[in-house]
Formats: sequence, structure tokens, C-alpha cells
Amino acid sequence: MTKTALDIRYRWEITLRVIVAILGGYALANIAAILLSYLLPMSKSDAVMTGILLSFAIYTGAIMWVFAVRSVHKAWLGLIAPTLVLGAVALVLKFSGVAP
Amino acid sequence: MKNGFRQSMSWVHTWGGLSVGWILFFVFLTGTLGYFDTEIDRWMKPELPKDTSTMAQSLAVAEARLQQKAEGAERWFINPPTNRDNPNLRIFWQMSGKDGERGVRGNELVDSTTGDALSSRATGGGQTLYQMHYALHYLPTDVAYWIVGICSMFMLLAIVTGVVIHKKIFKDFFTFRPQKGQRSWLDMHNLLSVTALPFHFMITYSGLIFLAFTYMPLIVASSYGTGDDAERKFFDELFAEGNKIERANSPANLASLGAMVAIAEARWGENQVRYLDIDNPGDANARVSIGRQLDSPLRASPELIFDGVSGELLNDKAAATSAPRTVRDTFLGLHEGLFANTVLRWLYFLSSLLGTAMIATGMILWTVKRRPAQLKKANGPDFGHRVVESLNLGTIVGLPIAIAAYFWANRLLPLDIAARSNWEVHVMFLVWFAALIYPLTRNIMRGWVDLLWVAAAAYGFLPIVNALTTDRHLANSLAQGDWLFAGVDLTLLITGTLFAAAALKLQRRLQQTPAAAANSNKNNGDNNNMLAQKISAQSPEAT
Repeated sequence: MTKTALDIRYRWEITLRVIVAILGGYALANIAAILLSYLLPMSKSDAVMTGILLSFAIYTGAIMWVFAVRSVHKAWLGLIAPTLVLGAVALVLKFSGVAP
Repeated sequence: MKNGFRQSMSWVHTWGGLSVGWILFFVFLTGTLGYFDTEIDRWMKPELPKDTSTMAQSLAVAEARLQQKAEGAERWFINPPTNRDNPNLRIFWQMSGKDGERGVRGNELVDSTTGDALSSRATGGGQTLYQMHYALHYLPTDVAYWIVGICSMFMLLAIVTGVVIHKKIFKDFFTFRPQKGQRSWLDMHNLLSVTALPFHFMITYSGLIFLAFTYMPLIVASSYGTGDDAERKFFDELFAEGNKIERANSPANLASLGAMVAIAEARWGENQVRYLDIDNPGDANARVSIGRQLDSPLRASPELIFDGVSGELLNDKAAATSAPRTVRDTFLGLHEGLFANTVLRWLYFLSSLLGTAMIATGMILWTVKRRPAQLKKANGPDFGHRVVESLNLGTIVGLPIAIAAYFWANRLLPLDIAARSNWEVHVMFLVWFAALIYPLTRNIMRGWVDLLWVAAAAYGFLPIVNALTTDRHLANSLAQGDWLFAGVDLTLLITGTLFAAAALKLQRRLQQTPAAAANSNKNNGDNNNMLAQKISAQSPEAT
């Protein structure tokens, strides 16, 4: 590959990572906090508040993960897979009536 | 991403920090001034007298005034002048609305000796300045909240990655290599960041929590559903607001507020009453809640609740609640620092200034690091590099100048012009805009010297402007022992002096550069000579 091609590829990868970090991280932070708010053994409003308090820490961790791993594929898979899994669990809880 | 975890995090720290640094600097600086919002308010309203009345006097005056302005209201609220946040007696009222709608509200500052409403010049005061740190200006509130929120998230990320990339956080803390160009900036950035690291983290995380319901609405919605009703249900449950007592709709005289305050002061001590909150005044179902001064970061005051007609003490409400709510309230209480006494307030102010300086040094470090390579380019520094350098100067020195201009406008704008308080803010932003443009027209290092001198003059002359336009100048306030006015004037003078010292220092270094420039070719890459290279490469004579 030529130098410019490498350069363009590098820029694309960075752009992709930034998008995955901001949007994917936001999604994961929300889903994880929602699941927490369903599972925590405390009153509904307190569980929701706890989820919100922790969501920013989860978000930060997710963003760092996206930039820490070597390949872009791993980066976005590593965010989307847990988001989908946790989201599925949350949906099951919601529709089975366990969660409020 | 890069080779190794630390390098990747370093990349995130550098570029994440740069991309929102200017907004963060604005947020941190205006927020820093917020720790003295009341003091700035009072300085900007020099007409307001110093309230020296007794509690009994203020209560009598407040009640008479409320009776006159808002008889039959749903709620009265009285802030006696017993603490920093309320230097003057303040009353607030809310009339009952029709069909569940919110009634008309009003509030007033009252002279405790004459009983008349106090009036002052139209000014944004310290409040407008302080509100800018989360609501910015000229933007719809929601848009501003989101911009500030996204920048705060970058800040949080920068703090965490900053700690991660710092291998020897303890050893580096004691390292300072002055007069070494880039290394000095790095050491200074580290020193400022590590010194107040807990503060930086607390202020950023709590800032996010302040507006968390805006940023993370889905978490609430997933349990409570969407819409205003769902949201209200959540807040009612979380904050356990007891149902307000309904009006009886039969008139009854309000019992003596003075007697209730006496009971409260007997429990808490003198001057410990922060507010009186009166539901249904003049009705048989009147309730009076008396709140205590804040002495801890927990935002809720302990309250005593009285029957408003018999004057009987009904119950004693402690401030503490559930754990998650306590965590939230403590974060927010720490952020606001309303409980802080004078010494702690200055500590808050200085820590926050360290945060502001941390952002500034980070931004300067970015340019200093890239400057040598940029100067070697055939056509001079890239446009992008020039833009960053100019934005840095226009913000780091330009914004303080703009804030000084806001104070100048407060003293110099005619008192009777329409929308006067808006014009104070317009002046501030126009001056900032000019300061952002100026560096593009000037050699960047000369630009720093120029604007630093402008800042020195802008702050240094403010006490003089104050003396020429009001009678509450430094000589008077010192003679009268008015430490609030004297404190603001002295702080302005010190700020001006510091800017002058910085300007002088930089100017001296620039004057030495012709000699240094001669050596610069011999030891290329030595950071000491960067300044010299900078001048020779950018000054018009060199091209």
C-alpha cells in the first residue's frame, strides 16, 4: 500500500472509532444502566437513580475500550455484542413482568 | 489502536482534550467565578445597602410586604439576610393558579428598615455569569445543556486517560523544570492536574449528574415510561415530596412567625434560620417550614414544620434519605459548595482556577509540542496550527478580558438604556470576538504580549472605574470595613497585576530573542530556542 492509501485508511479507522465510541458507548451505557435499574434490589426510583449515577462511568470505560483495542472490528464488536445481549435480557425482564 | 495501551490513551487524551478545550475553558472559568456569584452580584449592584437589621425586624417587614403584595397566595417564601447567599431580605410568592395551572409568581428584595422594595441598576450580575457555565448564552437551553454535557464527558475522559498515561504520577508531581519550553509546560500541566485531581474529578462527574435526567432520559423512561406525568411520578418517588396540604378555604390568621423562629433558634442557635416556607398563608390549613443553614454538602436542609395557625411544632424532618439519593445530593452539594464558609470558598475558587489553568496549559502544550516541526515547513505553519494557536490566545487571555469588559459595561453603560443587562452581555461577547480575531492579524508571540497587557489594564483600572462611578470605592470600603466591596476590588487589582507580570515576563523573553536566535541554528531542537525560532520564522522581516 502506498503512503497516502495508508494515511486515508488510518483516517477512516479513526473516524469509525470515534463514531463507535460516542454512539456505541452511549448505547451500552444506557442499556447497562437500564438492566441495573431492573435488577438492583431496591425501590424503583432508587434503582433508576443508581443506574443513572453509574452510566457515565460505564460510558467512559466503553470509550476507552474502543480506543485501546488493536483492531477496529474488535472495537465495535466488543461494544455492540454486550449491548445486544444486555438489551435482550432487559427486554425479556420487561416483557416477562419481572421488571417494572 | 496505537502500539500499547498507554499510547492509545495518550492519543485520546490529546485529541479529545483539544477538540473541546475552548468550551471547557469557558465553562471552567465562568463556573469558577460562580463561587463568588453573590459577591459579584453585590459589586454589580452598588446601590443596594448593607442590611444590618435584626431577625425580628426582617420578619415583620417581610410579612407586611407579602400581605400587601400577595394576600391569599398559595405560597410565601422568606429569606432573611442571615447568610452569604442572601445579603438582603428576599421574599417570593406564588398565587394559586386556576385548574392545576401554575399561578403567578413574584419576588423582591426588601429594605428591612423602611419596608420598601429595593431597586438597583439593571444588571445580569454574578448570576448571569455563573449561569453561562452550564447554559452558555444566546442558545436554547436544551442545546446548551447538550453541548456542555458532551464537553463534560470529554473532560471526564481526559481526566481518566490523563491518570492512565501518567506512569509516575507521584514522582512527576514533585518535578518541575522551569525555563525548559515544552517540558516546563508539561510539568506545569501535570502539577496543576494532580494537585487538585479529586476536585477535577468531583466537579466533572457531578456536573454530568446535575443534568443527568437530560442526558440519560432512556434510563428513567425504561421504568416509568415517557411523558411529563411519568417524569413527575419518578421525581415524586425519588425525592419523596410529601403531598402538600390542601387549602381549607376558610380564613384564619397566621400565627407569629417570630415565635416559630424563636423555637428553631433555640434548637439550632442564633442566625441558623435560612428560610421560611409558608404554604397557604391566611388559610386555616397554613403550614410553615423553617429550614436551617447548610453546613454540609447534603443539599437538603433539616426542616422544622409548624402548624401555621396554632404555631405548634408538628415534626422535625431530618435531611438524610435513601443511599442513591444521598450520593446524588452529596455530589451536587459538593459541586455547588453552598455550605462553604469563607476559607473553604476561597479554596473552592482556587481549586477551580487550577482546573481552568490545567485546561489552558494542556492547550498550550499541544501547540508548543508541534511548533518546532511546524516552523520547519517551507510555507510556514499549517493553517490548522495557526487556528489552534489563535483560538488559544483569543480564549485563554481573550475570555478574561471579555469578562472584565462585562464589569466595565456594568459601571459605564447609561443607567436608563433599554435592555441594559442584555447589553452588558453583548459587550462581553463582542470583546471576546475581537480578542479571537486579533491573533490572526499579528505574530502570535507579539499577540500574547499585547493581549496580556490589555488584560492587565482591563482589570487594573476596574477599581478606578468603580471609584469614579460609585462611592463604594476601595478607600471607602476599607474605611468602613466593607470586606465584600474591598475584596472584589482587591481581587481585580491582583488579577491585573498578575496579567501585567505575565506580559512583562514574556516581553523580556521576546527582547532577548535576537541574541538567542543567533544560537538557534547550532542546537536545533533545543526547546529553549523554540521561542526564538518562532519569532524569526513568523516575523515579516524573516520572510
